[in-house]
Amino acid sequence: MDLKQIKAIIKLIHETDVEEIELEQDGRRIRIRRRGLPQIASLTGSAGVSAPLTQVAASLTSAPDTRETTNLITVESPMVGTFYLAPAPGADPYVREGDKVEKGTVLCIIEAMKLMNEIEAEVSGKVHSILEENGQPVEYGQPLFLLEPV
Amino acid sequence: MFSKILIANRGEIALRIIRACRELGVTSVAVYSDADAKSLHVLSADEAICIGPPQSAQSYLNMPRLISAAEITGAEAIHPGYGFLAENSSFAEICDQCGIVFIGPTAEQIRLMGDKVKARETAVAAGVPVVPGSEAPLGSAEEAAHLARRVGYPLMLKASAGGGGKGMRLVHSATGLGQAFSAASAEAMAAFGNPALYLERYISPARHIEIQLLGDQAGAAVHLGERDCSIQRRHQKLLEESPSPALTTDLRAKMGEAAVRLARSVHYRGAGTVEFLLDGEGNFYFMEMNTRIQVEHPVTEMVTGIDLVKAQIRVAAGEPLALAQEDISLRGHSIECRINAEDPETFVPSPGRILELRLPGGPGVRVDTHVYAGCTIPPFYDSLMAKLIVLGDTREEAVARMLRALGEFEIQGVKSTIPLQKRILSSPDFKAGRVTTRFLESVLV
Repeated sequence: MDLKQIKAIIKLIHETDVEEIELEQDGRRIRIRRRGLPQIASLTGSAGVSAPLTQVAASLTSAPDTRETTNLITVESPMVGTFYLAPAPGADPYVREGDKVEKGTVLCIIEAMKLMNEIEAEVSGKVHSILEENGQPVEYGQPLFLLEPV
Repeated sequence: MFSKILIANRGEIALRIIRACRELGVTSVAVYSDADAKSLHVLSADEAICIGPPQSAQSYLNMPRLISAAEITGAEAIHPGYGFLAENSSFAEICDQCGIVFIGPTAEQIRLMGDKVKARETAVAAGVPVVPGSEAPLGSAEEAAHLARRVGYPLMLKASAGGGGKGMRLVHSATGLGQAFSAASAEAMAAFGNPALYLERYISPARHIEIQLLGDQAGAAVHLGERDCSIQRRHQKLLEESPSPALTTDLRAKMGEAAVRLARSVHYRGAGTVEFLLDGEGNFYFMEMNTRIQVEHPVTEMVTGIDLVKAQIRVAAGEPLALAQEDISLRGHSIECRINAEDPETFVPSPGRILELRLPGGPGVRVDTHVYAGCTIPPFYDSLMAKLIVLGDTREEAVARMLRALGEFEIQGVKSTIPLQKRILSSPDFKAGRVTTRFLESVLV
């Protein structure tokens, strides 16, 4: 199971009412559970090459309204391009996890066709998570950040 | 050969191109809008990139997003399919400037054939008969009247800068010309920002006969015979067949040679189609040239045995044409019926979820489709769901085979034009091969 597959599972949990997913593959098992925010609960088994997922047991219960989830906002890519966390190679990143941002603060750059496009926060709040790595190609709608609005 | 191609299209043609890539060992990249996330072309491609919201302007027509998608996936070439940006010379140029191969003709060739007046001039220069008419845009109604005395009535006034029926007027005699000229000119100005008109003799009844061409980068060009596309509604084709019941071997050779002359005169690259009108006396006239792969290309593939999409990719990769004219022959008879998600009587589009789907099969039956049971046909794009193509030894067998296949074809959840196609195939005039561009009116009445 590689990082890409794990990320896809996290995205799935985040976008639906799924509470928990447990997968087993070649003796490796992973359980991902929602509690406020998706967490990797356990990862057992030895490292191995990734293979097609063979079994999914998901419990599709609706999350209760009174859960203590904060209303995290997902910042999605508005374009197709390459995601950069800093204005230039070697420079400090625009934001780090935990940073406070204002509406309009530049979060990252998406480079498309040699043009650098600054992506700004739409709300004020705190950077909860950075979901993509520096230099990753991203598609339209791809989740980039989770912001915790004030 | 390319190692990776991005398909700048959707639906059945995107799937068609992916299939050709797969057979050539080329990695395919699909692009999709939010509305097409579960579309079959996305699921079939080796890689897929979401490029925007459902609106075409922000997805399939959005050049920066398409180029960006090619860049981040490392695609060396883009296949534009048909429609969307397939005949957009700016897009072809931008691909060029970004070092991406545009699988199709050059930007210059697209521009040339896209200008209706210039295309006519090119045809005349290549010795291809054109519909009698004006060689240049008309300066005034008086000039039109003067020319009309030579060209004859009835005639069509058409917009130089346009198409799609706008800025067009049918004129039956000299008395109606002045008024028609003003009206058409004003309409052309409003629709295309250019009031210029030209005129052509109106040929009716006529058959719409198009010749499939292939040209390579070394300057060789061949034709792959004709398709008869006379059955149309509001300039949209419903059914196509090859060979045409109206063509003799001699006429086919003449029309084919004329089309190849035109292609050679501009060093045409890739697949293209020259459209002719054929009147009742065996005279053919150049109408226009389409610089793309066409919806109805499978009909030609069936009777020639040649894979046109693979040929396009090979030409774009710099390979010379594999076949010479003497190697190409038409064998058997092929018919294609377009199956649209529309009401078969009112033609109102019928998007929605396909609940059940049963495709026809058996000998000589081919179905090109991107739909599957459980898929949703979005309301944002065209209504073409599937192309049903048959091949028979004779035209009779092809007609019988198509009727059988239409009978096996079941779609539940959305309306389809299958009932209309059955009526067309059952009509005595169609069975007798008596079809002109007026045919559909008589069936629909």
